[in-house]
Amino acid sequence: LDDISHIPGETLRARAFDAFATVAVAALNRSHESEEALLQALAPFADLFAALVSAPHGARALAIIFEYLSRVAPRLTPQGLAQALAPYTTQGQDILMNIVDQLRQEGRQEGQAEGRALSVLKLMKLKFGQVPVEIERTVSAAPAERLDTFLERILTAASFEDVVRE
Amino acid sequence: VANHHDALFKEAFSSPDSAAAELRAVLPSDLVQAIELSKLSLVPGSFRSHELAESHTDLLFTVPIAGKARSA
Repeated sequence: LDDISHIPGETLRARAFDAFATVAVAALNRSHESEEALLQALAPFADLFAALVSAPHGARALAIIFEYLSRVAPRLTPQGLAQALAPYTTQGQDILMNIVDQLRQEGRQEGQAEGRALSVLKLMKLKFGQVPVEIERTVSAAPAERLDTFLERILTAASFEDVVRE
Repeated sequence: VANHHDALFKEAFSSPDSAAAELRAVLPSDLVQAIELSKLSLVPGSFRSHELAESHTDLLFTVPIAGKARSA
């Protein structure tokens, strides 16, 4: 079958993926190489990074991409990414840096909620057993503050419903 | 151990448009013609990002087969 992580950059655009998927595959392609090689491979897709800024769900896509990039290239900074992309986009480096900084901020907040949701799910599983799909959905969609409430309730709750009630 | 490569792929290709584009590129052409890739639809719950650390669920889509009446 098709090894999607090895589609060469030149043929990637011909696949008609959306911007998110194109950038994602470009990143997956070079994820095992140096940070420099990774950035070099991503730079020609700078226009798609820029497009994602105004696309529906684009901010989320950018946050996921940046989160991924910082996992495979732990020393990559938003500035480093912006500098690599800047020569390839007409939007200019300043705009890109603002975008990436904003993303990093959003990513942190999202990461906090995600971490808390995982804790809630883990604790519920320990206390009540296998977590029903509906409960799982409620927990993973909940904002950070609500997840704090869930966490506190687990101590005294008698059921899954007790934890996630309004 | 969470597989972030897998996670990125699944996030990116849960979009039916991108998934259809990939299937169009890799499936045999007679199969591509037989299914209505434009009506590809992600099965809800087949992928939830918070589960990635613990389970490996593939993306699951449904697609109508051309020429078959849709079940009511």
